[in-house]
Amino acid sequence: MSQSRTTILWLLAFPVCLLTAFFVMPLSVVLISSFTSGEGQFTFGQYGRILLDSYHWDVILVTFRLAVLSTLICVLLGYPLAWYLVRIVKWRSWRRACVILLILPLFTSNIVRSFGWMILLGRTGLVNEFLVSFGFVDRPLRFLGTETGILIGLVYILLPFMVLTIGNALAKVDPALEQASRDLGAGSARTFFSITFPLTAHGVLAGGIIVFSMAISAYVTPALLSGGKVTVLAMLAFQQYSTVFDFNYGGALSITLLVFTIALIGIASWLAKPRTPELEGK
Amino acid sequence: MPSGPPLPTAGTAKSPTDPMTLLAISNLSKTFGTFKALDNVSLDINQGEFISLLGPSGCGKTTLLRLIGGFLSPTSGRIAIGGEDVSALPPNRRPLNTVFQNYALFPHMTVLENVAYGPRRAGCSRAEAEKKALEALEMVGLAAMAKRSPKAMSGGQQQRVSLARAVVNRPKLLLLDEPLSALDLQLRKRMQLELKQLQMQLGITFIFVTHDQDEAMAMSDRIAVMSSGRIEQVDEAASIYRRPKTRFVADFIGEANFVPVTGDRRELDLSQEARGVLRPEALRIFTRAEDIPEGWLSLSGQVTAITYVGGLSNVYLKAGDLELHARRYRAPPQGVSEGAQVLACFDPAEVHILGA
Repeated sequence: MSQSRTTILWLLAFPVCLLTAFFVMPLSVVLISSFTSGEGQFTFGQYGRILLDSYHWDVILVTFRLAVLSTLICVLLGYPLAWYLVRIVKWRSWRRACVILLILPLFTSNIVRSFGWMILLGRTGLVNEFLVSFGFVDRPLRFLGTETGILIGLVYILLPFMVLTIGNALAKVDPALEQASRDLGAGSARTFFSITFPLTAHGVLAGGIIVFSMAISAYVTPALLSGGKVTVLAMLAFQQYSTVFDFNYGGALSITLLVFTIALIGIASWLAKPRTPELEGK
Repeated sequence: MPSGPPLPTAGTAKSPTDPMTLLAISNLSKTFGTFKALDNVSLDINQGEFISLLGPSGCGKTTLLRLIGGFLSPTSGRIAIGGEDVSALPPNRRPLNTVFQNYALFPHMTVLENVAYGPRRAGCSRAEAEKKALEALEMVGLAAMAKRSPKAMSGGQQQRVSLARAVVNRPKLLLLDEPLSALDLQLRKRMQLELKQLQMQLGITFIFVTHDQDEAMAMSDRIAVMSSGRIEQVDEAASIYRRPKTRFVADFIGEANFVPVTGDRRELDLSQEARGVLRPEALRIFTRAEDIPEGWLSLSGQVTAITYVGGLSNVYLKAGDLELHARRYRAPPQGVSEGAQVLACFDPAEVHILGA
């Protein structure tokens, strides 16, 4: 009896140590330093600096706008793509090729891919050349240094996560359910909104949370594509840590980002919670 | 297996405008790549009929059902329901419903919502749809479970829910895709009876796909036996059993001995091809020649195996090149044992000659 208890304790000790070392400790350090003044005293001052200053609110707004928009665009692009891969492609090798193409960029560095977009989106880049030569626009558009440019980069980098999560959910929906819906008189749009989408909503939510949290904490892509003209919260925090060496203020920025993110994800999950409508007697 | 030339349809001479004909399938083919899943099939199905599509897996029966349901589009040919060509219509615009093999109940809806889905799409108000759904559930004895999730039900209950969902809109035609194959034997037997009763009560035409010949024979008015994308024979169960048209049908429906009986005088001619179908229950085993009834034909052979199960005895024997199987509803005859030399005898009138 006592022996099995020690075994359990040992078994528990391992994950507890792991979680402490990798998750609790770093976060605690940041949390504590965010409540510390430059002289080592406890203070709310760091948060005061952030929340009482309209500049910071602007940065927070830009950060969230970019994250929310890239999540939405990823859903809108990712769902059809996942649908294509799971439902339309019949030829196995082609599907495999598509999935590899989708995943392959994830193995290369984020920095390289963002630089790639800098070249593509530049004034004389491929995108502008294409737009101008086909007469879509008169003059080259300015992408670099705008939120649009950052958005394009973020969507490109985060789309695979969305496609894979939605595709995974979609693959688990038995096509017979959609056929049953058609058989019972529903058109294809009604079938999608009544059957397919509700049954894959958890995948969309999971993909949304992944993409949103990666977009909101993204540093490399916004930093490279902003050209210094757009600032997101992660860039501000990085500045404090790397150039100003103000760990307390930087920590407070990180914690602010974390709190806002958790709040938004919490709200989104609550909204998306499946609520089976209570059927009354009649 | 001889596939032979295309066989005429249904055996009955029915014009396409026959008012009794609900579903008219003419020259329907479906090709997947180079594989001919369905090869020039024609079939007329009457109003209120219970017809089974019977055949081994890969014979094209499910393809035919999916073509009728609209989930596949034909390579060539025509499907008409009540005289109207539906070949080009999507599933939601065809006047029929389907009971799917694995029930295909919507897991995110309650039983009631599942059944009310059809009436809702047909334009009923929510209250009206739920009233109809409850009636349909009442019919299959599950009204009390309306608010449950289908995931929390047994296979038999899910089967009933899917049945209620398929008939709630009172379609003209109900397609059933091996609906009982996932149930255990006891439940399957009970559901066979219930299905048949429901069909008669509602007067809906049933097209029932199965690979189980007993199931098809127990329920159907007519059976269409299919093999390699063709319909081999369409007829009532008893006729198919007594007068199979092809060797495939004779072998697939029940068991068959093939004996070389030929000519109008029905004589045994061992030099001829064995084209006479003799059912095992018509073959009797004797040990002495003087016991053989007058006018019967006999073959002498050696017993290779005997089984005796539940009041049913089977004797397998070899007579020259022929392998024979005799069955009777009592113990094997005295003096018949493995290796014994016996006489296998039959009334020539019991023999059905293929292609005659």
